[in-house]
Order: sequence, then structure tokens, then C-alpha cells
Amino acid sequence: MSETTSTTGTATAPVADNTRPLSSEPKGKTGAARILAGRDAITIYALIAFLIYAAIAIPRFASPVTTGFLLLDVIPVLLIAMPMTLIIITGEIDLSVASIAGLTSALMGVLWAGGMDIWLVLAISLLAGLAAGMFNGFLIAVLGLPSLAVTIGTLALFRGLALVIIGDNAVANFPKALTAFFTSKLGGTGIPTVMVGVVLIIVFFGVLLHFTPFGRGLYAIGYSKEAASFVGIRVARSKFWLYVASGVVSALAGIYWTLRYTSARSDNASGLELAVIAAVLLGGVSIFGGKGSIPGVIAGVLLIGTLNYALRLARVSDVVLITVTGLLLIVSVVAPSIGSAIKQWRHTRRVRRSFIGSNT
Amino acid sequence: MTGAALGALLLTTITSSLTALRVDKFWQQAIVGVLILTAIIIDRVASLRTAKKLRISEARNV
Repeated sequence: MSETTSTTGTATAPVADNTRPLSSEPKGKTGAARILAGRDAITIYALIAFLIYAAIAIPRFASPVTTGFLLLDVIPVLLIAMPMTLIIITGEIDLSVASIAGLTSALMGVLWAGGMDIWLVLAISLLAGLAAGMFNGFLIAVLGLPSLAVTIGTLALFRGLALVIIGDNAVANFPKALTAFFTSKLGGTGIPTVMVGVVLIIVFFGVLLHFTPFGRGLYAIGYSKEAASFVGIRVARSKFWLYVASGVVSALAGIYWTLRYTSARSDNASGLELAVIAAVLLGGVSIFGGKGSIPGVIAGVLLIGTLNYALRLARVSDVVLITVTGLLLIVSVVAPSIGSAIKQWRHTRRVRRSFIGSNT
Repeated sequence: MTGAALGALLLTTITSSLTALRVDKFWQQAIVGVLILTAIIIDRVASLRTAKKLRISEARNV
């Protein structure tokens, strides 16, 4: 083993400076340093730092009421961010999530107003999300169309279908017991009861991404589709199921939205896709694919959520709020590319130096 | 560039003509969505055909 590496090393790398031992060469981050100084860890530190700051500096922030309202507001984004993370890691995107949520909301309203049993309504709404996801998945994975173009098309299509189904009406007379359940809290902690289900979904996607061959394969697809298919990853099939999962979770978010605000309208959750993508990118997922983790994304979603909540509590106007979110997003996208540009520059400088050193 | 401008013009024309044709206003957005998807699919089919034709003509020349 050591013999083969040394022979190939001298054969292919004439640049190598033999006078210095290998251990003195700069290495990539490994072990604990990689986890503690990674891109997603930085988001987690930022979240913790901001939570501590807000608890001290902003009056009325540190209370169970905060936990409750903050989590209730953040749940739709948190839910959809899970499949979105997996999709962006494969180097694709899904812009139709908010429209699927709107479509399920409209469908729920019409079916419930038509006198159907509420559980049947919920089941049909979930199936509608599944079908919408399969439609996206078919166009992208089977026909091989670009996901950005397809989901822009279905963004208009699904929102349009929601309008066709419910028009400009709103349905609001959902069963009291159910809507009360969706805003109820776990004892005095202020944590919403629905959070239990949300945590289960997060754990599902976290385990799927980080601990299964399927999930590890998604990173490979994000780095290089060709290489991934050569090592035996079923690229098209993985993508198809990701879009199905995205459709189902978006339907869940649509159901949550309808019952939390007790209102089924065609424009429910509109514009949510941008909030989700912003949070996912802030959580350290690379828009070019191949990089990212679930803990980072959770921190990203919570960071934007807390920031909005705290600024609103401090009576900062909505305009400033949107500006702050936008700035955060730009920083989170630009900072890693500046970092990698610096790394590249230092690398070329080192190579050039060792060339000059070996010539003299 | 010209293609993008033409596309924008076409979409606007379609939206106004849908109104002129008295299509139900709730259907308009759905129709726009279907048109976008159709355009992408036609583009894909056309490029696949061109690729196939090129391959056949190359095979003949060899």
C-alpha cells in the first residue's frame, strides 16, 4: 500500500518538494475541526449568539410565549426546508413548493365546504401533494428537463389550479377541535403540540441524508452526475423520489397553514419558496450542490425566524426586516465563494513557489 | 437576448388575448403554467431530434 502510493506520487507529481516531510504540507480540515469550524457550524454559532443577545437586550423576548409563536410561525418553512435541502444538495431546485401548499389548501377548503369527512379531506389533500410531486419528478427525472424551468412552470400551474378550484372564496369553518389542536401548546413550555410531528419529519430526513446510502449518494450526484451514475447510483430514480417527498411535505405544510390560520384560500403560503430557499442557503447548503447538512439548515431556518421575531418585537419596521434578511442571504452566498477564492489563490502561490524552489 | 424579449412579449400577448377571448380569469394562470411547461418539453424534444439526425448523418459520412 505505502509502496504503491510512493511510486505513483513520484511518477505523477514532479512538483512535490521532497525535502519537506508530508506532515508539514497543509491539509484540509479533518475530524473535530471539520465539524466545529464547518460552514453549517458557523450558522449554529450565529443562532446561539443571537439568541443570547436577544434574551438579554430585547425585553419580553425570553418567555414561553416567544417559543410558542416563533415555532408556530417557523413550522411551514422548517417542514419544506427538509426536502428542499436534499434537492439542493443534488444540485437541483424546487420552486413549486409554495404553490403545492396553496393547492392543497384550496382543495381542503372546497372538499370540506362540500360536506366531506375531515379525515378523508386530509387524506385527499396529501394525495394531491403526492401527485403534484410525482408530476414534477416525472418531468425532471424521466424526461430530463431542467428543474429550474420545470418548477417555474409548475409554480404558475399549481397556483393557477388553486385559483381554478376555489376562486376568490375563502373557507374558514373548519372543525374547532382540529384547529385548536394545531395551535395548542405542550403544557407550560410554550412548545406547540404539532412540533412533535415536525421533529419526527426532521429526524426522518436527517437520518435519510446522513446515515443511508441513498442520502450519501445525493452528495455524489451534487458533485458530478456522471461520476455518480458510474459508481452505480440511480440518479433519475433518486431525483424522482426527492420531488415526490417534496410534494408530500409541501402538502403537509399546506394543511398546517390552513388549520393554523383557519382559512383556506388560493393565495395561502404564496412567496414561501423564497423564504425556504433563503433559509436553506443560510444554513450552509451550496446552491451548486454537493454540500450541506440538516443541522445547519435547521439553524438557518431558526436564525431567520428569530431575527424576524426579535426585530418585530423591538418595533423595527417591516422594510428593515426584509433588508436584513436579504443582506444575510447575500453574505451567506458570497462569503463561501470569497473564502474558496482565497484558498485557491494561496494554493497557486504555493505551487508556484515550490516550482521556483525545485528549479534553483 | 432577442429570444428572451420575444418570450416576454409572447407571454404578455397570451395573457391579454386570454382576457379578450373571455377565458375565465381564474384559469389564466394555470394556462400560462401549462404553456411554459409545453415550451420546455417542445424544446427538449426538438433538441433530441437534432442530436439523433446529427448522429445518423455522421454515421453515413464515416
